[in-house]
This record gives sequence, structure tokens and C-alpha cells, in this order.
Amino acid sequence: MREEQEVNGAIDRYADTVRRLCMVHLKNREDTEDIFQNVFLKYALSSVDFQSAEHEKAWIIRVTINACRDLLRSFFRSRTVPMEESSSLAALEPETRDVLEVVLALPEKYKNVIYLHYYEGYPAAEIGRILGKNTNTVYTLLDRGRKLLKEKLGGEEVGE
Amino acid sequence: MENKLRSAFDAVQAEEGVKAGTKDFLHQRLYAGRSKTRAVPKRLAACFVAVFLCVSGYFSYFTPVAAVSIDINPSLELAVNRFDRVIDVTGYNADGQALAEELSLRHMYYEDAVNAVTENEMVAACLAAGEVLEITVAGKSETRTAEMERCLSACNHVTEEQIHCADHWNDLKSAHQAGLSLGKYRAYLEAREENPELTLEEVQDMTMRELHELSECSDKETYGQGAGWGQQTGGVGQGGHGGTKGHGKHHQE
Repeated sequence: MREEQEVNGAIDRYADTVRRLCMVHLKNREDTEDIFQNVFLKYALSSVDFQSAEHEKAWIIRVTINACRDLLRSFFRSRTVPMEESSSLAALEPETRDVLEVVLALPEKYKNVIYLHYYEGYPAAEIGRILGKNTNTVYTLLDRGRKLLKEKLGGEEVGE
Repeated sequence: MENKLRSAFDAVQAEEGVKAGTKDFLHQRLYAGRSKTRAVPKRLAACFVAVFLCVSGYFSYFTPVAAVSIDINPSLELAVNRFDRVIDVTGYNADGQALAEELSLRHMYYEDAVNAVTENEMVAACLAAGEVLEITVAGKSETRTAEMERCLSACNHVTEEQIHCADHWNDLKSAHQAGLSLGKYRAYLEAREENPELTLEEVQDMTMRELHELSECSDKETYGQGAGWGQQTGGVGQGGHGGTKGHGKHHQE
């Protein structure tokens, strides 16, 4: 089990990353808090010996995505949850909010690759390792996700 | 568009409340109780160490490493531990047992115990009546024996000539098997050299003065005390005992 100080340090480093992934997948603050506790509890109890900061971050991202997926699939979770996420977006700039709403509207399979590629900067191969997908599959998802964003955001080119 | 995506996601940050709540959750779940559970092994280890120290300390305290035999007519033996404390007092005749019961010598430093004996009224009366005091020391080490001999020579009413050292620590066992204190047993052996017929039973009630006289005297008549002791025959001379008279020091190997 990791020391409390180490875990708190990880929370400070990766809280924003986890929050963004929660925003991509979840709908309310309560679920976000659950994911936070779940992810960092696993971190604290994990015996993985991280080779680098990048290795550690990739692990956090993978665990967060899996935790979100598990939460969404949970039999006991109510599907009729208040759309609190909309209110958090409302606090953002209109242009920012519009872009995020477009991303959130994408089918689930494209959200992760778009976020990991265009925000976190991971190459397709790394995204494949994080998500447990074939690199070519990632390329395909990126390509299709990019096209959807292009359609939604009014035809502007999205860099590769 | 890529820049817009990056800027949009940059604006999404974890709320401080969520971070703090997560830290608190983990603290309660993992670390608040962990400090107690960590303390348990430490406390347990501390308990074991304390018990071990107590047990080893107990055995160390109550293990004799030396003996001091005080013989006049009261025949008394003090068992001494490594801390120079008296851990046991044994009287080897009726007077010795009475003296042991009268004096609370346990846990005293052995010099203080010897002083308590020599200053006792009964003992003082014996010495005033011409009885002989002898102190015999036996230690597990030669160093300890020599040190104790030095310390005892400074005790009240004690002279260097009255202090003897046993040859071996095992002499103590032999003395006890014979039913005698160390000092009386040593005196018995010396007396027997000149008086081969001398028996342990006869020696039991003899005073140290009488034993000395047996060792020294070669042509005296029967003593009034001592059951079964008949006429002195020739051959009980001083020569054989001269070496041990007074400061009978026998160093251990």
C-alpha cells in the first residue's frame, strides 16, 4: 500500500485528468466523486512499480476509463440522473462550452480516442495500449471521430 | 480546431472540494486505521521486548554468581548475584537459621549484609566470648572473587586474615552436599587433614574456633562440645595448617 503522502501527491497531479475523463463519460458530480475515490483507492492499493511519470499517468487514465465504464454498466446505477454536467459547462466560455458539448455528444467509442489524442497528445499506438485496442483500430476511430467533429463544428479542419 | 479542443479541456479542472473529499475518503479508509494497526505490531514487539527483558532480567537478577559464607558458630551463607545483591540467605545450623530469620538480608549489597551480620547482637556476643569469625568467598570468576575479597576486608569487625577464598566455584556444591556452609566445609577439610576421623556430623555443631583448634592443636584433649569427638591423638600439628592460618587465600585457576 502506498503512503498517504504519495497518494495525495498523485491526486494533486492527476485530479484534472481524472476530472476531464469523468466529464467525457459521466453525467453528474456524484458519479465523478465516486470515480475519484475508486481510482485513487486503486492507486493507493496498487503494487505497480511505475517506471516513469508517463507510465503512471497512462495507468491512471486506463483505470479511470475502466471505472467510468463499470459505473455506467452498473445494474444498480440509476440511468435517470440529473444533467448536472450541463450546469458545470454553463460556467465556461460559450465557445469552450460549444466545443465540449460537441465532444460529449460523440459516440462513446470516439470520446476517449479524441480526448487522448487531441488533448493528452498520445499517439495511436499508446492510445491502443491504454484502451486495449489495436493500433489500426485507434487510427480508424480517430479518423471517424475527427470527421464527426468536423461536421459538428462547422467544417473546420482538425489537425492530426 | 485542435487548439479549441485543447483550450476547452484546459478549462475543465477538478474542483478543490472533490480533491479534498477524495483525500479525506482515503485517509479514513486506509490511513486513519492504519496508524493503529501499525502501532499494534510495534506495541506487540515492544511488549515482547519488555517481557524478554523482564524475564532475562529476572533470571539475571536471581542467578547467583558468588557466595559469601559467614561462620562463627552461626553458619550463614549468602548467595550473591551479578549486581552484588544478596538473593538468598541460608542458615546451615540452628544458630545460622535463627540469624537468617532475624536479619532481612535479601536484596542488600553483600557488604551491607555482612556488616549487618557482624553488628548483630548475637554475633557480637559470640565474638566477645572469643569465638572466631571467618568469611569465605566463592565466585564464578577469579576477578569477582578477588574483588569481593577486597570489599569484604573493609567490612566492620572483619580483618583480612578472616577472609578466605574457595579454590573453585564447585566447592560450593560439595559443601552443600555435605550439609555445610562453604566456610565450614573449607574448615572441615583443613581440620580433617590432621584429623582423618573427623566426621561431618561432628563438624555440624562445632564452632569455627573449635575447628581451628582441631587443625592447629596436636596434643590437646577432647573438647567439651561436638558430639562423638574423642581424644586428640598426636599428629595434629600446626605445620600442616600453617599455610592456611589467617589469610587463607586460594586463587582459582
